[in-house]
Amino acid sequence: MKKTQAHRWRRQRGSALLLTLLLTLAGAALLGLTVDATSLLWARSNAQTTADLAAAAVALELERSPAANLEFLSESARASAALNGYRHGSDSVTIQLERQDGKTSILVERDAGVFFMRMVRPHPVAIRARAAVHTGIRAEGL
Amino acid sequence: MNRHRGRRGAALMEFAMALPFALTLFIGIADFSVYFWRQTQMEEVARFTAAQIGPLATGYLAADEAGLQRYARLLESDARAAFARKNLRIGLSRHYACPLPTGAEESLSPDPRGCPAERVYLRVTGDENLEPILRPLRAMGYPKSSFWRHVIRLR
Repeated sequence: MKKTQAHRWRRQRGSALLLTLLLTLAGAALLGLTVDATSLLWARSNAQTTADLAAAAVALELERSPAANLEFLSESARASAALNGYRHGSDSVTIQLERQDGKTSILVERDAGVFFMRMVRPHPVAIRARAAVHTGIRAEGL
Repeated sequence: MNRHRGRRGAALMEFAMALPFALTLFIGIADFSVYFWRQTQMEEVARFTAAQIGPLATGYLAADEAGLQRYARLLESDARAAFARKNLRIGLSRHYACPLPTGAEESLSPDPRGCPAERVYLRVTGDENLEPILRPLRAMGYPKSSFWRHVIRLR
């Protein structure tokens, strides 16, 4: 009886350390996931604000020159987005002006890097934000 | 009896060894959570501020330097009240750019250039100091403040 108990205790030695190690690893993985998810949310929100501001800039441009062509308006949207840290053509950023059914909208796209999720997903995550251009009032969402 | 006490002591020792790591990890999680939460909130403040500025664009266009600073203080107190951030600071500055025939523009200038169809922008900055519980995180690049900057076209 004594021998069995001693054997069990010997087996249990180091279990607290092992358990803590496992919990720490699980905690670190959870932290990584949280950091990545939050930074993606932040990147999405930032892209949306940039799209809204670019849409507001295009609305102003349209008020000033209603006959402006799509290319000119695209460039003015890109100029506004560049001032907000989204330079078209660099860092996988694209700023596009789209016209569908008489409605004009701005589409901002960017690849957002992930840090910890890279282990399970090596590719960056594409972030997209769209804002409608309304002349007369400021862009939707602002 | 002695051996049993020894085993209990070993478990306590293991716990004592693991505790600083676990605590560091959990406080680190808390510090980074606060940072990301603040940064996300700053984005909300930026949108809130842009929404305040939008309908009053003509006022921001006409204001002189002192007027802009007054507007900044007003925006600051509104944002502080709306987001319960009493140390939030907001700064405003106006910039000008001449458009190019393509629709793009020259780089911003702090003074008007008087070119035709000149574009006027308002640069809005906001920041609030951040103090992590784990001070050594500073050495690992933990930011000193949560910060945002947006440029809004006024004309």
